[in-house]
Parts: sequence; C-alpha cells; structure tokens
Amino acid sequence: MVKTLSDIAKYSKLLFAGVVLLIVAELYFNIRFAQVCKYVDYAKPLPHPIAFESFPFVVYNMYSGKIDDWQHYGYTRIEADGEHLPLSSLPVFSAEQISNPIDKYLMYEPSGFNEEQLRSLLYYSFDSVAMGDKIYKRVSNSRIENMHDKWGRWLTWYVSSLKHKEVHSIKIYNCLYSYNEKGRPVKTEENLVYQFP
Amino acid sequence: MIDFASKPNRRVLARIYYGLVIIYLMYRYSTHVLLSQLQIPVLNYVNTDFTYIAFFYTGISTFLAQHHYAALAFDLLLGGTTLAAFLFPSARVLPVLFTFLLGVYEVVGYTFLCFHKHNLTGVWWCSLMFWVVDERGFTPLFYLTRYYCLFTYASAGFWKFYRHIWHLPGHFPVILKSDGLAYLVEHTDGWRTALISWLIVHPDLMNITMTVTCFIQLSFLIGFFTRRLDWFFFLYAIIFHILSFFLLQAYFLEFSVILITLIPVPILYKVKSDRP
Repeated sequence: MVKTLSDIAKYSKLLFAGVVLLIVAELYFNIRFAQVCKYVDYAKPLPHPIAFESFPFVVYNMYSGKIDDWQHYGYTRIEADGEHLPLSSLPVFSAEQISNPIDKYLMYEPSGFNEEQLRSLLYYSFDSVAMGDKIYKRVSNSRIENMHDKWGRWLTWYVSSLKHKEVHSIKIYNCLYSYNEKGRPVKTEENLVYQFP
Repeated sequence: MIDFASKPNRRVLARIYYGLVIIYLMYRYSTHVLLSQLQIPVLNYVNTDFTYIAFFYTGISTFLAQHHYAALAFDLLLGGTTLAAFLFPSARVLPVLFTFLLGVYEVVGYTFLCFHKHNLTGVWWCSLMFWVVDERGFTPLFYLTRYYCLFTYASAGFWKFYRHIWHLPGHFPVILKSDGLAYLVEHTDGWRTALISWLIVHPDLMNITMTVTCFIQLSFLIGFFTRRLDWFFFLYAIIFHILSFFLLQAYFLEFSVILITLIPVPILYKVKSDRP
C-alpha cells in the first residue's frame, strides 16, 4: 500500500492530497463508530450525539450489533384493496421501497414525527439551539402536516405503479410470530396499525 | 498464470464496470426505484448523516423527489452518462460526471427509501479510479480501490470481533429468524423455505458458520500484503452475497462490482509475461 501511495504522490501531488484526505475521513468515521460501540454495547448512555457516517464515508458493520432474542419476531402484513401484498414475492428493491418507509412511518408516528436523535445532533454539532432548530425544521418530517393522509396517498400510488392497476386502500398489520420445532413460523399476534383512507 | 506485476487494462475494466452499472440501472428501472418512479414520496430519512442533511437542507432532495420531470431528466442523464462512459471509456469528463450523478442518486434515493443502504457505496468508490485516464495514474488508483475493497470485507469481520459477536451463540440464528421470517410466512413451500427452516432448527451449524465467516472476512487483511489469495477472496465474496440474498433477503450484488479489482485474469491486465 505504501508503494501505491508513493506512486500516486509521484504522479500528482493534488491527487495524493485528495487520497490522503479520503483515507483520513474514512478512518475518522470508523473511530467515531468505535466510540459509539463503547457506549451502546455496554448499555451506557451516549454523553453527546455522535454521527458516525457521512456519505460516502460509511462503516461496514452489518450484523455486528447484539440482538436480544425475545422468541417473537415481527412481520408486517400489507393489504392493498383487501388483497394481501406479499413483499418477498416482489423484486427486492420494490419490496424495500415499501417496507422501509413503513418501518420509519410506524417508528416516528407515535412521537408526531419528531426525530429527537436528529434534533439533538444538530443542537450539539452547531452549538446553537437557534441554528439547530432552523435546520431541523427544514429537514425533519415534523414539518409535514397531515402526514397520515399524504403518506397513505403516496403508498397507494407506489403500490399501484407496481401492480399496474389502481389501488384505493391500504391496511398495515403488525404481526408477531414464534417458531415451532420444525423451524416454521407460527402467528401469535396481529394488530392493525395503519389504514388509508 | 498472470504476472502480478502487470498493469491493469483501464479500457477493459471501464467497459466491464460501466457495463455492469448499465445492467444495475436497467434492473432498478424494472423494479421502479429510479427517482422519477418513486411517485413523489413524502416521508424522508436523513438520519444523522450530514451529507444527507446537507442535500435535504439545500432543497436538492426535495426538488428531485417532488418534480417528476426534473427527476426524469436526472434519471436520463444518469443513464446516458453511464452509457456514454461505456461507449467512450477514454473520455475524461464522463467518469467525473458519473461519480457526481451516482452520488446524488444514492443520497436522494436512499433519503426517500428511508434507509441508508451501502450497496451503491461500493459502486461509488469504484467509480473514482476511472477519473484518471492515463496508465501511470490509473494503475495506483486501481490498486488503491483494491485495498478499499479488501478493507470493506475485513471491516465487516473486524466489527464482529470488536463487539464480541463472532463467538456469541444464537446471534446468527436470531438474524435468520428475523430476516427470513417474511419469506417463510409468504412462501410455505419450496426449497428456499425448506433450507431456511432446516437451518433454524440447526442453530449450532449457524453458530459455526458465523464464526468461520468472521475469520474469513478478517482474513481479507492478508490481501494487503499479497495478491495470491485474490481468487479465494473473490469467490468467497460472491458466495457470501448470494447466500445473504437467499437467506436474509440482503441484496448486495451491486456492491460486488468493486470485486473486479480482485479478479486476476489476464484479460483485465496488460500482461508482461506468463509465469512458467
């Protein structure tokens, strides 16, 4: 790697400076992530918000966090015009474009779409409540009025575009499953959590 | 056998890279996830990523998401630039423009996907090496990209050791039970269902798989010192991504474009001489 860097330096000083900057930034965000782990993994509260990714500097840490096994696993069932929409039968990108917004909608809805983590990061990073509030109001979902209907309308449009036919209503259920001795899922609970219109 | 001192062939590599990206974009088009196909999304997710926050704050993300024709123009520009870079691999401006457009697509798209995936990040980093057209500059950038590729996989292993997950019994079985659930609920028959269910009732096998995987991922560090294991790394990564997709619905095949830096086949290099 040293030879590679030295070849780049010989080729162009500007390119070399750019490469060094990218390497330092990547390492910086990895160290930030290590700091977060030190608190999160030992159930300690973070002393202040720590942002550990900023595209294109990301941390490749998939599945490295401990997950507690509660013996119950969540499944989101979607009904479009009363018909079950099996996401795993859709192409993976289409399924994700439905499942991720649903997860985030259900996560933020109880708090009125307030994103506390984002707000506290902005307050801390800019060291100013006024500045933090100014940015937060512009980038968070809390600025959107009547989110329930607007988001529901979007979801029906998107599902309609996938099904190539107009969809008028959406219902979302949160289901809990456990597994039997054959490794097959068994439903234990189902609750309607969203309905449009 | 290839002479490892040989120079990578930029022209061939650019054709393969941009050719694969064209296929990726066509697949994205067919699955309705290009910006103009998102049906004017409402909910966004910038999370705590300052690049995403900056894009949203400046109005770029909202503008592209809320204006169908602007998004359509963007999609056409991205597709057109990729195609042009494929057809004219020696052009200087096209790779820079492509990197810029891909970055915008990733940030805006994932803002409204409401999840910051990393599968396009590998594609983005890999695009940087094509900024330099002449061989003298391209060769070290190619090897630097190879190091980045090795770093990403080694990093995936490293964090599992750092966070003491590599030997934690039950970690992989829980992931499979959670991420494989949707498939099992929606497909009660078939080989994939049978395989996932079989693995769930054999947690010891999963625990061993997890530990072995962590060690293999960490072993990518060896690649910083020798290129002799590149075939092994390449094959492992491909198998890993395919299995992740079939078992966990984790789609990372786009990311694997960066693996072109690990394939030691003569066609990708300007071979000086063959070894005996």
